[in-house]
Amino acid sequence: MSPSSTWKDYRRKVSGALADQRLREVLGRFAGDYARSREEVFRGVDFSRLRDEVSEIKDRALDDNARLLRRFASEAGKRGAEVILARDAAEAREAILRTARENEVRSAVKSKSMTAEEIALNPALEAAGIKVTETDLGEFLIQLRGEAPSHMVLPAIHLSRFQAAQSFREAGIPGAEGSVENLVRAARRRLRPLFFQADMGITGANFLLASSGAVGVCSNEGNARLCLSLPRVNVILAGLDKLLDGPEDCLPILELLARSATGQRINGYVTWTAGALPAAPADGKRRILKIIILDNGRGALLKDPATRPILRCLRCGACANVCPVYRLVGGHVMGDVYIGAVGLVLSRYLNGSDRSPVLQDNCLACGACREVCPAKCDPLRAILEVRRRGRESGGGSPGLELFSLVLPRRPLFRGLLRLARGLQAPYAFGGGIRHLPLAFARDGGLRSLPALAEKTFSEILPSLELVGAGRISCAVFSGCAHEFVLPGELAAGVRLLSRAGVQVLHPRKQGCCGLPAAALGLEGAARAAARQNVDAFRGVDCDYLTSLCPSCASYMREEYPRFFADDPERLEIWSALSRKIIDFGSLLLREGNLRGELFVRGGERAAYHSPCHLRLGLKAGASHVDLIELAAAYLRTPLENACCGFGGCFSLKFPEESRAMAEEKLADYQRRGAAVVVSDCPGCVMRLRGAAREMGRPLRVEHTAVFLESRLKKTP
Amino acid sequence: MEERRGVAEERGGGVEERRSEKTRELVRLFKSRAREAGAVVVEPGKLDGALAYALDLVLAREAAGVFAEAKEGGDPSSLVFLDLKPEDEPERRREMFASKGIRVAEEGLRKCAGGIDLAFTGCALGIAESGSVLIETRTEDLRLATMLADLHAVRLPKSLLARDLSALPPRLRRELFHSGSFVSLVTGPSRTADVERVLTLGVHGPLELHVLLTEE
Repeated sequence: MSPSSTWKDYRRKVSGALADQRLREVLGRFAGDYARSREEVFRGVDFSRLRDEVSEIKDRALDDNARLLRRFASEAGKRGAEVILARDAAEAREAILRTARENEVRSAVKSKSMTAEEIALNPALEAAGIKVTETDLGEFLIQLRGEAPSHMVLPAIHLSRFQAAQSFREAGIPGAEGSVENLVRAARRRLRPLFFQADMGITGANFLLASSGAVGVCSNEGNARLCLSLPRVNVILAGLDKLLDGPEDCLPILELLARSATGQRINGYVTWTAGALPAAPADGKRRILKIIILDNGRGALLKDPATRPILRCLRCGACANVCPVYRLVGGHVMGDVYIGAVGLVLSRYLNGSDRSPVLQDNCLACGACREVCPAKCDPLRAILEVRRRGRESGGGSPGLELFSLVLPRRPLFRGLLRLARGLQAPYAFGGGIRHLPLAFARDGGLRSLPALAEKTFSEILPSLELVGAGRISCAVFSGCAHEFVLPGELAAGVRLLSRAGVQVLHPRKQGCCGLPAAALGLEGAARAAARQNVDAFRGVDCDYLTSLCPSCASYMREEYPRFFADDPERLEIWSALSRKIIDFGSLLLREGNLRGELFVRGGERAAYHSPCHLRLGLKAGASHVDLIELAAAYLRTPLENACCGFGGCFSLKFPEESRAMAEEKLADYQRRGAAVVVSDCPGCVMRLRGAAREMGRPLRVEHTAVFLESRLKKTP
Repeated sequence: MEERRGVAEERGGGVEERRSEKTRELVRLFKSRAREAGAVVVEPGKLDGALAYALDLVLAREAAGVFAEAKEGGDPSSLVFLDLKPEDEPERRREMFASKGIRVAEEGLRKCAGGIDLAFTGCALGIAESGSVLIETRTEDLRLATMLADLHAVRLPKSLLARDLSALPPRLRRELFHSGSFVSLVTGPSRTADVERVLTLGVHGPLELHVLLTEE
């Protein structure tokens, strides 16, 4: 399939999911419920310590993977199991089919296994004439319907009880109507005899313990235990990333797995079993246990330091549960076999390298996944890494190359944008333009940009009459949005600072922070941008370094050190500067010398939009609503922390998703009676303002700086 | 009461008291966490009380006309499995159930595809923080009984209560040394939330889990 047809197909899937109102409702409710139960179940639990432990345990086991595999095979072998290492999906399928043939298997029961999905086991077994029954309720349901799982833990989350009952009726399973309980009982009655009749039981595993050759399996329903206990032939299938040393390695994982997955304290059943179970007294035949350990791309991920942390993944699904994109479109779009943020990466690397080349673009880079991951996989970093490699291996376009050429060259960038500003007039409408004549990239690149301002911030700056030497000084990083598109916001911000006696320094040679380039996978351009900015700020003597764009600030703080790994001089300069980074709102609260009596206080109600990169990236903003309260009545709203859908290039690549996220927020703000929405990020402001205009909502959207500065009492 | 304990500890004595206070606290924690997970927790005294409680569970089901479905051989009367050690006077205990017309399965649970009404078992440990019991099953009959029973009554002597999961590894290491070992940490009855995230109990395993905290 050509990349563009893949891209088109994917966009069609996105549109289809967005149009499914019921799915949107289910996922929206789930996101809210999950956030509440997660908060509840983590109360009094030291999440940060436990996830440090989990990631250390997983890292240690990954370091030692080869030895653990040998030990596991030997210990399991001593206990009557046969261990088979499968290099890829085909080998794993063949090993299972061979086992089935050798033991005259005609039917199999399965308990939930994402790894079995990964190797497409069911179709292979069915082609060999073996009847397979999924026994996990959700998996059973989607098997009846011929669908794929849409969540790693709740595979049938996309279905309603009515759809489920109808599928049961069509399959001739009686008594499923009326309530979820009836449905569950009907499944119990149908499935119980199948465990007894099946010749083979197939399960996944959460732990492979090398010290004893034991396998650990977590479930809630209890079906895995029945699958392991009743059939005479047992197959356990697991990735080689599941190898650990001893039972103590399971503990922190158990503390976090169910809490992260479903908001439970612990899974209902955690079973450890070592070796083949003894023969059943009735038939006296030896029980067969085959443990298939799957590589299928994991070995390559393991050897690569950049992708290796992703192998810590526990498959809890938390990264899907908090993902704004997942919440909107569900797992049939947000993933392939594996779902959620980690799924975007695993789907790319497992099963050969050509799969799912466009999935990774469907990410806002908000960082919510990074916050909740119990194994510190940092899926976001891995997604960006996949994009980077995609570009390197020829996945870019001429437009992207032009972009990467222009971005770090400030005069060229500025000149081209000036040219664009001149040419855009015929295309501009209502402050936003659809198609900039300067098309950096056609397919999936930057197809539209907001209207450029008459004058850039740098051009306005001399007319602002700021204080000279102040009691303290603050260097300002303007960022592209404020330099070229919304310079008035930054001007309002620096006037507020200057009013409070803060000396504002704005080094001329600064350029784009490099985040858009990094997000597009343009590593070279991102590195050049980082160098340029460090050079621009070299020697600037300041108490603070601030930006009115938390995306720039969090990106620079987080990512710049990586670019200077082999450049100790810039690294040192940056380390010193980086410690001075503070977001604009926090700086105002600390140094702004603001009091309520300075403001004209209207009766209007002002809601807040918390930018992801402020809250999750800079870990700030918890008390920024205090700034709103200086000049208006602050209105707390439940979607305050929900992503606006901007995500930089994301909003250009997935305009429908982006708009849907913004609309959901705006509808809620308006319903609750807000007149103005205040936020701390120019990207969020543009996204929300644009959506409000498109939808004809009478909401004003203002950056905190403008909101405050425009409400200051005029001094006589 | 509070005051007296304080004094005893100050005197440097009260080791027993401190131990029993620790046990009481673990019992409190265990009860609240196990109940959160959907288990029923009672304190029926000693083994006698625990078995009487289990018997009452079966009799109450019978009175309500509830029986495990489709039993082997078509006999609809209640069927239970009792996991008793030789020192528990198993004969006398079985007779207690049989005298009420309740059948006691001693082996061949593999024939009970329709399920059994109640399994009465012991356990190796209780974990207070998670409200869990650790069940080691060396025989197939015991193992299947814990999965196939509609009601699972687990006898947990208070002396086997541990605070947290850190009590597991020593037991696991010992048990997993043997081939064919099968150990389950069980928290609450079988459950699913796969349909509309509605929590529903008893999808594959026991519909109810009763933990009987005993004094011995």
